[in-house]
Amino acid sequence: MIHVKNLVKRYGKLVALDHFNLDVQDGEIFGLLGPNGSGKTTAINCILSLLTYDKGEISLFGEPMSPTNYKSKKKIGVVPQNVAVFNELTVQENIDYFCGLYVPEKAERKPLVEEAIEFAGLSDFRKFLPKKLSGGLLRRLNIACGIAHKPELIFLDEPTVAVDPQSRNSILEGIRALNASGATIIYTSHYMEEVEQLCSQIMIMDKGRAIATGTREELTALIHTGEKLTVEIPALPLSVLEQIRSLPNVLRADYGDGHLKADCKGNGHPIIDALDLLRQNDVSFGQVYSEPPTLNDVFLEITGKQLRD
Amino acid sequence: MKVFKASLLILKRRMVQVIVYLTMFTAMFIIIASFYSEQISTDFSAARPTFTVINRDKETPLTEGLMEYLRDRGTEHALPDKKQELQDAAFYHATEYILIIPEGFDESVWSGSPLSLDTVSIPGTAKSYYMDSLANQYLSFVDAYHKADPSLDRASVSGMALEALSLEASAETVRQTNGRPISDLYESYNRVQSYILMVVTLLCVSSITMSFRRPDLRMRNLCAPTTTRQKNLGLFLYCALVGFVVWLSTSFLGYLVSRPSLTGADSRLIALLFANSFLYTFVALSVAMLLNHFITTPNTQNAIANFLSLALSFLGGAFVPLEFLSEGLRTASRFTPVYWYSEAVSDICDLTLLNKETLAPIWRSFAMELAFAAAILCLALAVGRSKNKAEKSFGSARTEIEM
Repeated sequence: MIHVKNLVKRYGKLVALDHFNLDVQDGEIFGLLGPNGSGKTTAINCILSLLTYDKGEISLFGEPMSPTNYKSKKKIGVVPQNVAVFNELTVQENIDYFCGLYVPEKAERKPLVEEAIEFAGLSDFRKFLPKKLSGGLLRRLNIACGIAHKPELIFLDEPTVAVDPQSRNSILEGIRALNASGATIIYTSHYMEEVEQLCSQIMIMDKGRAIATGTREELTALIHTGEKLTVEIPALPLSVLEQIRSLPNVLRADYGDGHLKADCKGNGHPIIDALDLLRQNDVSFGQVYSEPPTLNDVFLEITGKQLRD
Repeated sequence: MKVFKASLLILKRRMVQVIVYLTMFTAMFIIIASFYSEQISTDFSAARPTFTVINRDKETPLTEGLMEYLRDRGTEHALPDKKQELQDAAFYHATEYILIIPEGFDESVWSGSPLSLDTVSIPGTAKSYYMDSLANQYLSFVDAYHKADPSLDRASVSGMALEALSLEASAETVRQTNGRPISDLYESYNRVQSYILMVVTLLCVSSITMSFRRPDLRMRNLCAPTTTRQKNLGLFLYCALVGFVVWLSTSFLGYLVSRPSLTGADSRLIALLFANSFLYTFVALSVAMLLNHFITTPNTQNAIANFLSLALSFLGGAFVPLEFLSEGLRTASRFTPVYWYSEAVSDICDLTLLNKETLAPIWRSFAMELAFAAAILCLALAVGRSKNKAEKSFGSARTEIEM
């Protein structure tokens, strides 16, 4: 559905996109994950022909994308990072306006607008002006304006920024529902948890480059870090800690605040060995937690920095 | 048509601001109108100032003739030749003009070196100048007749001067336009209308473009499969409708308020004034198009709309007659469209005859207004083009897409 090859975009000396490649298939929820300034929004703006670029090829629905490719534009829905609605129009008027840019016929548009209002849970607020809405409702309105015309391809650029947890869950559920109804979704975020939960394919970006692409499992398999083990221990002798560190599948282990934390190697599972060691040394312990590696670990291991740095 | 309809909806939500402006101007104009409530008069009647003559010379045909001439044109208020009484009379305006004929004046006139007459008058009043000129006129005629024929006796010279001064030629103002001239009230309104048109048009147009130019909304609009032509057509239709409605409402408002003073006025002149303000609407629209590129918030919108409209209207003579401005400002005003608008208003209101020659300056002013509108519109398009290429639009990204 989307094919981007060797895309280069420069702002003066700054290279915003450095030979960026992207392939998105029908029906995917494709996540673009990266810290602020990594080039996610620039990539989307180039794909949407809002920006010119220095080099590369972009095609959507099998056709080269250009500002005048109205045929492709008709099938696209865009939910920008900032809430882009008219402050002077009500919720319903805003949705009707943006839907009307894609669906000129009023009779055809009316049910679509109603459906979008229902979908976004804005039925009780249809006559409200945007300034009367909360942050979460505004975000939902922003989404409703982008999806009312039932696009085949939807770009969601950080739709949950500055949104409370309840509204965030509602938005994420909505996105899943859109995907279930057949829409392909490009989702950008710097919240790794969201991308992990939502996306079937994930691309991690940094400094305008795609540094890794794949499913969550494929990405975590790329790194040496495996699961993370946490054990509640009231007191841990240093000698026991040294023994744990020397276990075959333990990369590193530390003790502090009554917790033993150990990072394990990719495919290793040293939890039984570690607990046996504690028993043998008469060290009493409480709860034991084991977490699989996250995308932040992937990013950390590849770039040497945290996603939210 | 989505852009057009959305523009009307946005204007509807901002209508309060427009109504406040229109109400304010209506109220101002009604107050002005109340001062003009009396019908204008085209009849002439000469003023008759109150005057006093103190003759310290003897009574001669010359002095008697002078007093007779003044009595014909003023009302005499006799006073004794006492300084205190003369001062009191002048101070309390019992008399508006005191003429003192000095001793030996009669002889000095006939000898060819006349003594000067002393006068006491209320400073700066037209009546004192009028009485001065009457006295000088009589003495000039006497002098002229005496020099023309020195053999004539003094009584004859005085009588001939009085006879000559009593001659009158009847004059008639020929008007080939129908009915009465345009009232001062309606002329004043037409001048001020340039300001109202400009400020209201600016507010109405910029209210919409301010929203559509918001980078996030521009981006969203650019993503849609609507052509630039369709979007611009919507905005163009909106501007045309706004311009027409603002022109129509302000023109009819002025006409309705001034209607009593326009009874019997030539409808062709009123039509010309309507045409003049209609053409000026194009100037207002093009100025609005230009300023849209600089208006980004409601605060700048009000500041720019009011400042520019006031400055242009002041410089163009809408509020203060150009004669009261300095030479430099008068020269500068010729480079403003309001100047040509005001010129057209003056020319139309002064029309007494409608023909090719008298209408020529009006057509020239109309052409100048259109030329200004076209030039400003071209400038607006050029500024728009350059701003679109250089503008920081979507976050830190630069857009090269033109609207």
